[in-house]
Order: sequence, then C-alpha cells, then structure tokens
Amino acid sequence: MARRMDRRRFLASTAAAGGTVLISACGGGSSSGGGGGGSGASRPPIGKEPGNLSVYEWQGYEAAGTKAQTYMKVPGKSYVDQFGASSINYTAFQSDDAAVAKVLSGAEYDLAHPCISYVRDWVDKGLVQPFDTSLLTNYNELDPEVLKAGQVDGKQYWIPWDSGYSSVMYRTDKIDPADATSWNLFWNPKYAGKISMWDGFTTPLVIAGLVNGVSNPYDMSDAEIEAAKQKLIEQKKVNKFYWKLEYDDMQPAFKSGDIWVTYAWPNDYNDMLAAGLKTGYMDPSEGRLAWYCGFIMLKNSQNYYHCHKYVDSFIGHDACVDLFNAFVYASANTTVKKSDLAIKGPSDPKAYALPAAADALRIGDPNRLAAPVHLEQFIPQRAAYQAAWEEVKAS
Amino acid sequence: MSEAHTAGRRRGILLRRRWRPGRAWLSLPVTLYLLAGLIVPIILIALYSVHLLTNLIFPPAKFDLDTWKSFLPYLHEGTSVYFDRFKTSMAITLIVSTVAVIAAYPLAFYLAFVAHRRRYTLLLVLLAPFFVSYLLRVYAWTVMLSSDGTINSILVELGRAKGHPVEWLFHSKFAIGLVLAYSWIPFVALPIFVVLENLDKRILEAAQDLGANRFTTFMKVTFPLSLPGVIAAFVFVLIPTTGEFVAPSLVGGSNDSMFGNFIQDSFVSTTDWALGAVMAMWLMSIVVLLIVLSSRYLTADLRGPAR
Repeated sequence: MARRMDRRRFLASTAAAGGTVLISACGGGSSSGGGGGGSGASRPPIGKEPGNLSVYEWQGYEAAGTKAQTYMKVPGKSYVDQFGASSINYTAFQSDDAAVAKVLSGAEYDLAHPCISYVRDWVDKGLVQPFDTSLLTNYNELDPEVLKAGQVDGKQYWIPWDSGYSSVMYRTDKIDPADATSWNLFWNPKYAGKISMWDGFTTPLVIAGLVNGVSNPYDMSDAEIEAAKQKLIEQKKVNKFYWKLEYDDMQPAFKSGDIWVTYAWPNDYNDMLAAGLKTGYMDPSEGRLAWYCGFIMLKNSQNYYHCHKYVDSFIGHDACVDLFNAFVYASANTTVKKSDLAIKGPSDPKAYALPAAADALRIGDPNRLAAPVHLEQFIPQRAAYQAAWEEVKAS
Repeated sequence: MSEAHTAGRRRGILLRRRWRPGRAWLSLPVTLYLLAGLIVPIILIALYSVHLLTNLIFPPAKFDLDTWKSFLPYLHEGTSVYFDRFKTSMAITLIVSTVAVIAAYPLAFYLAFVAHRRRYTLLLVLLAPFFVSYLLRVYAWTVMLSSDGTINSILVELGRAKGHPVEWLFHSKFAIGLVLAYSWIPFVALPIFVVLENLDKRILEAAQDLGANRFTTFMKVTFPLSLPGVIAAFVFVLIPTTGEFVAPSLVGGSNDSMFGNFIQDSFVSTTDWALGAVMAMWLMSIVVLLIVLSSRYLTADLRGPAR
C-alpha cells in the first residue's frame, strides 16, 4: 500500500523546513554484500557481522537518534545506543509494489518494511529469510492473530509493527447521521461533488466489493471484480477527485470544505478534529478495514543478528507507545493499554492525540480485529484489481 | 534581406568545408550520454512493450503483441479506455498550447517592440517563476482555487457566488488547463520574442511607407514573419504537455486523469509495465511525429520566414 508514503513524506518535509534534518544516510541503496545468510548456514556471531545495516524504510520511521527527531524518540533507540547511528543506512521505501520490484531487480538491503497484504509476495518470490523469533525478546507481546499473516510453513517471515484502521471520515455538520452508517456513503448522490475516494489501486475495489456484499473482498472472482469495477464507475459520478496524498491533497481539501466524505485513517480524524472541524470516523455496517505493516529480513543479509536486534528495538512496549504518541497509530504489541498513551486532556495538554481519535483506534481492545472488521490480506488477483481500478479512472 | 541570407548560406558552406571528421570525438561524451541515458532505455521500454522483457515472474518473457493489440482500438473489438484517454489528453494539450500561444504573443510583442531597453530586465522577471519548483507552483494554485481559496473567498464576499463557492474552479479540467497554460506562458513567449526581436525593422517601416496602417502592418507583415516562432512555441508546449501527469493529479477531478497519469500508474503503482511501455512508446511515436512535422519550422532560421 502506498498509504503511508504521504505521512512519511510530510514528516520529512516538515523536519526539513525546521532545518533539523541530519541526513545520516550516506549514498543509499548500498548493499550488505551478496551470498550466504540462508537459513541453516552456520552464521558468524554478531561481533563478526559487518554491522552496517541497510534498511529500506518509509521516511519518518528512522530509528531514534539517526536524525534529530522531535518525535519518535524511542523506537530504535536501544539499537542506536548499542551500535551507533552511523551504522544504519536508510533508503526511502516508496510503496509496496515499487519495493518488491526494486529488490527483484537486484537492490540489496538487510531489512524492509512492507505491509500485511504484500508479505506473500516477498516470501513467494524468495526474497526473504525467516526470523528466529527466540532472538526477539518482545516477540511474545505481539498479537498472535496478526503474526499469523507473517508465517509461511511455520516460519516467521514478517514481524508486524504499526497498524491502523481505514474507514470513512465525514463532516458531521454536513452529513445526515442516517446516511453515515455504511461505505455506501461514497455513492450517495445527495453529497455529489463532496466525496473523495482514495486513489488506492486495490482498496477501492475492496470497498466496492464490501458494498456489493461479496463473501471475501480480498479474493473476489472475475465476475465480482467486474461488478466492483462497474460499481466504482457509478461512484465516479459523485466523486470530486481521487486523492493521492494524505497531507498535501486529502487533508487540505477536507479542511477547506471541498470535500465532506473521504477515505481516511484515524490519524487524519485526529488532525481534522484538531483543526476544529465537526468530524466523524465511521463504523460502517460492512466493517472497517484494518492494516498492519512490519519488518522483513532480506535473503542475502549478512547482518542476521543485527537485524533481530534492530527489529526488537521497535516492537517493544515503550516503542509502540511512542509510535502512538507520535503518529496516532496503533501497533501489534498487545501490552499497550490505553492508559499508557499520551492523550490530550487536562493532565496532558500538549499531547498530539485527541481522545476521540484514540478511541477510534481501540487500543487495548481485544476485539479490535473482530468482525465486522476486515484485516487486510494478500490479494491473489492483485493485478486484476489494479487493472480494474485503472479502467475505472480511464472510463 | 536576401543579401544577408546569401551571406548566411555562404558562411554555412564555408563552415561545412572546414569541418573535419577528426573533430567528431568532441561530440563523443554527449553521444555516449544520450546513448546510455536515452536510446538504451527507449529500447528497453520497447522490449517491455512486446513482453521480451518483463517485470513479472509469470508469465515469463516471450514475444507477444497482446498488449499493443489491446491498447490500439483498431486491432481489437470493443473500446480501448486508454486510447480514448489518449484522445482526451491530446484535446486538453491542444487547447492548452493554443491558449498559451495566444496569451504569450502580446507579451512577446510588448517585450520586442515596446519595452525597449527594459526588455531584458522584464524578460528576467518573466522567467522568475522558473526559479520555483514546478510542483510548488502547481500547489500554489490550490491556495487560489479551493473552496475557501482566494478566488472563492472574493466571489463569496462579493455575493456573486450567493454564499456557495464555485465548484468547477478546482479539481476540474478548467483547473488543469489554467495551471498548464500558466506554467507554459513564459516559456512560450521566448521563441516568439526571439523572432520578433530579430525582425528587420526596415521591413515594417517599408510597409508603413507603402501606406499600411499599424494593424495592416501587423496582419500582413509582422505576424506572418513571426510564424516560425509561433509554431516553435506551440510545439514547445505541446510536446511536454502530452506527457503531463503532475497537474492532473493535483488539480484535476475524478475524470481528468491524463495519459501521462496512466503511464506513471503502470510503472509505479500497478505492476503492468507492459501496458505502461506500450502507452509510453505510443506517446513517444506521436511526439516524434510532431517533431518531424514541425521540424522544418524548428530548424529554419528563426529570424526569417521558413524557406
């Protein structure tokens, strides 16, 4: 999913505007050397590893201390404290599709940060090696249900970390509450010209599938994909524009009143509430979508033990609390409770997260992924979904 | 005039005589650069378009014209949504180019004939927007055009919009046209300015001596003589605008994606590189065709009419 690129880009640009960016990446795309590293091979101990981690990471997620961060000061900190900021080299992760293509064409990294629906792509194409979960001290705190999405043949290839929902965000002062109960608000002609769907390639098809009542929107048949495509062509008539950039595109349009209904994440809901707009974040009758992203270890990494240390420094309780405090994102760590979080209120007037947005994320709620929520999945027919979406835009 | 041209020709002949093949190595660095950075990638794209190269594991690379057949409406039954989109984009491009040229002409005329000694200062002012990134200039328009933007605020204040912002200003074809024309006008003014500035002023005086008023002089002498500049300017906008994808994605509406957006999507967001390659090759063929058609104007001496 390209979903998180915007946030990263935004954070990077705001940091640059403040003149606080210290670019620790030298060159970018440097490899950790080829060959070896496969499972079963005898590995050198951590002290004998090169130790120069090359991480293919969304901008804004760099380990604490590798940039002059003013937020996100915990994730990665223990790794940086131990091995030094200059030992990590970041390359910007632009989108899941582009990342798979880049690594397939020969780019080499130690770690990357894809989202849940792409784990299978990495594993099936033989680009990754499994983690040794016994080396991750925080592994047992992670949600077992989500961990399953990273397992193939009993091996853990993907370690989930950041998470959130996807749903309909709407203006409560403009939209009749009776209309704000379902994803089909995107099709409501009453609000024609005030609606903006995400240019999300596969996600709009999933939404249309939900509205059409298919049994599994992530694995639709050809006929169901065609029906979803027709449904989206119908939606186009009331859609103002397809938004591409969360912060440069969708949020300004929502703030200015250009749009009243849009596809969004809880952090957007937080930002719109903070901007003083009467905003709602829907619990559609068909269910919200839930997403996770996490870490994979590339096949040729010669920093096996360093990789584990690095990932471990992100998935612990404190790092996940800080992830919420910085971005209003949830995480895969089940030990994080709502009471751990910095939520704006009399006791914490400076916190970024507002109570309503924190509630929307349902942190600490054991049922946060329960039906009707749809946890994102690998889409076997992804190319067909994408082609259908392109045809919707071209029709 | 004819004397000057003869001299020019003679000079050309002399230069040609003096040209020695031994100096060809001077062009070697640029030739290699173009070969590596332009020709080779184009060949690769061409190979992708016929599936001889592929970004997919399945199906494996094998010569196949299917993507071409599905793109070109003449080769299959039914509609070709991308080809239709190409036609729409070309229409937008033609309108933008025409508007930009019409708007830039008076500007160039002013610089060439009215501004006198300040012309180069004004020229710099005209080019000042190019110091700002194109992306930022497009974003700047969102401040002007959105529902609570500058223009709508004024309209609402004046009561013209009766309390409702004008919706077609933003996320519309109008916005795309406006932004593109705005971006290209300074660039378009340049070739026209060069032609006008280098016009032999004696011809204009002669026209007036022969009784033509200013309007007739312009219509019968100045404008025809400036046509090479106008055509060059037109092509200068047309060619880059055919592949435009930034403006439509930032200020266009749901139905305003241009051909360039689909090419970009194919490579960046979806995995259909073959389709992207076909569309890119098609667009490039059209651009090359445009260049060939206009080359007699582009290569002609900009100071005089095409010979």
